[in-house]
Amino acid sequence: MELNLSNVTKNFKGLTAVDRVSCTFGPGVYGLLGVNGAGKTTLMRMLCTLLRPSAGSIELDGQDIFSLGGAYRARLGYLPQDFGFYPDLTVRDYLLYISSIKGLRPATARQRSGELMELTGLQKAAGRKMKRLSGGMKRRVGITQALLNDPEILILDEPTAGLDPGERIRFRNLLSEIARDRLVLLSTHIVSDVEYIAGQILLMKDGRIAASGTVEGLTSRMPLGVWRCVVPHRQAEELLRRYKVANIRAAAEGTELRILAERAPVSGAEPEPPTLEDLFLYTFGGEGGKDHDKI
Amino acid sequence: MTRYEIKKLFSTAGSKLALLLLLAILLYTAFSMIHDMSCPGPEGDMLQGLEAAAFMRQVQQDYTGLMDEAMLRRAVEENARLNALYGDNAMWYKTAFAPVRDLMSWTFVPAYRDFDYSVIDRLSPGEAAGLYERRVALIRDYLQTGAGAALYSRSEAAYILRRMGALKAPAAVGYTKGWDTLIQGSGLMLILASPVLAYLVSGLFSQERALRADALFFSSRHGRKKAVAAKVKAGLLTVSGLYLLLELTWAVLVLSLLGTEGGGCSVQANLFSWRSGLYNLSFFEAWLLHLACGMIGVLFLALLTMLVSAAFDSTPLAAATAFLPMLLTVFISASSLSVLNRLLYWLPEGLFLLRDELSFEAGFLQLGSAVWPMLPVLMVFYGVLCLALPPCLYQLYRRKQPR
Ligand SMILES: Nc1ncnc2c1ncn2[C@@H]1O[C@H](COP(=O)(O)OP(=O)(O)OP(=O)(O)O)[C@@H](O)[C@H]1O
Ligand SMILES: [Mg+2]
Repeated sequence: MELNLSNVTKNFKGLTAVDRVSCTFGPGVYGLLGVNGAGKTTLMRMLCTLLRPSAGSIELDGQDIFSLGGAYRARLGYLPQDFGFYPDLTVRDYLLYISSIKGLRPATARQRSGELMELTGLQKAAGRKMKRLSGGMKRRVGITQALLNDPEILILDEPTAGLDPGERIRFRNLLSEIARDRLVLLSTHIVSDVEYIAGQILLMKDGRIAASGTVEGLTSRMPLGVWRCVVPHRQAEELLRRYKVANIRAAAEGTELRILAERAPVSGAEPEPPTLEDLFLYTFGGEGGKDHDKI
Repeated sequence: MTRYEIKKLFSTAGSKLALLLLLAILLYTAFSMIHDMSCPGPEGDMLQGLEAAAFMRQVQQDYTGLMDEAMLRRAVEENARLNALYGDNAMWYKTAFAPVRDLMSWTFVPAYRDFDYSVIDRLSPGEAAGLYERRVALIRDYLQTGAGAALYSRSEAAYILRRMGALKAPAAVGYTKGWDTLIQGSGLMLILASPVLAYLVSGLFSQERALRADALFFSSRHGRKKAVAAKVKAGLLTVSGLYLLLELTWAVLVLSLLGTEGGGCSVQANLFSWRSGLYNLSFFEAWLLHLACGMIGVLFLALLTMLVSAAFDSTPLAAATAFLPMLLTVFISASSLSVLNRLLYWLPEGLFLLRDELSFEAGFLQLGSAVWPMLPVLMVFYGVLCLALPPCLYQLYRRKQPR
């Protein structure tokens, strides 16, 4: 199975949300990283046949996904970014309904949703109305529905948004469990979500794939080094102005900084191995907001 | 799929409220129809409601069967006998032949719209026997030299007279309160219930977007085909199922309270159809016709609502559409513009008011010299729309672009 994107472009009235994206996906976990508005959702919606590209093509094993239509979507699982549901249906009925539009037979649907509810820890909530679930539970239902048809292609748009750290770790474990033999494409702006489970990372910026590769490959290619140093508070302010700083921590002896720079920014700075988070900072500079600092 | 679509429809608080409203409409109609019933009783007082019905049911057995010369003569003779016996108090004893007497009161009058309550007191049995001929003469005068000449074209007048001449005479009469109330009441009930039924499906399509569930819907395997068809099917099944449930509940309720007899009696021998009815129908046949017309009307209204729901992705707009024909009917009836009044004949509300539609006063469609009364025209017109709209709905929604 191979999903091939060539020069995929999407224009919205004068704005290019996705700009000539070409890449090939096989089985494995792909982390799509990018700041708000980078075009992640737009790209994913095209992969789900919800939007037609303005130019370029998306092919599954050489066949256009839009002409494959239902046959392609039968192999697809999708969790939209703003996952909508029917507030008055119970979790069980909701899953059975989604199973039915995914083309599962009723008996298979019951069995499959039972198994998945167990996997995602939803058994106790099966009879509860969707509107009475907590945010984390709703996300779990969202992930569960995406898995109902045992999809070969799983597209998850910010599956961890709004989850607490514990839930997030549970989700990561769940994902590594279900990722086998599938193509999983996962978007996020939280680096730690994908750092350990994604085989491949795609950094998306202004509608383009700015960089891609494994975590090691990407970080080793980073042209700047990473330095850790402890400096007096006064000096820290100056360094903050001059360099990209990945982390600041007040310590007893002064301020501890994690700095991206070609050479040691101050004497006594120790080199550190670069992480994906450093790369994120390098690629997106300050525009990433504060979200990537979390956890 | 369809099953869960229906489940979704009924899961909301709004639809539960609508179901309660349907029940309330049913009970209100039953109450007002039965409450309005009255007749003079034997003790010299007006009987009301169920009591009146039970009394009529009992005494009108004497005047059940074909309303032939013998029955007409008998009614006049009995009337004279009661007048002689009770004088001014005689009216309290005439309930048995009141239906027959009323037909005479509408017929032996100078002009089409007149009514003379006391005409039977002046008729000889021989004159009364000419009831059917007199009816045709009355209509002919009305259409050729009377006020009707200005209202109906030559072809229409010729058509009316031809149909009138073909009406079965003598007609079967008897106690028909049960069936009459069944048809009339369910018409009134449908005027109120049809928008509520259509309201139930107003969110069928638009809710997907409102709930932001459309992305999942359209990215599912059947999202662009079967799942859309299931939605259309769910809407039609919900509306037609509830409609039939409502009608059958009404029928059981009314016939068990007022009696099942009279289903074979002629509709044309009843006041509402006597002078202007065009059709040879028994009450039972008329009820079946009403069921069919009602189904067409209700489905049309529901389809229109679903179409707005799918086209504009707005549940409020779709819900407003459900009530539009009813409001139009009220608005146009209140206005005096003749152009608008012609439109009135075409509104789907006509399909619910079978008693009115049986009459030539419901209007005609004339093309060249060919003339059709509105009832079959409405049935064909809205029937064709009911067949054409579901595929349109399907094609419209399956091409939707989720937001
Ligand atoms: N339907 C649309 N019409 C017009 N512009 C759109 C539409 N959808 C997205 N955009 C624009 O395209 C750009 C990319 O949006 P997109 O939602 O793909 O970003 P994203 O990477 O998913 O961001 P986020 O992290 O906030 O979810 C944004 O500037 C957005 O405003
Ligand atoms: Mg997004």
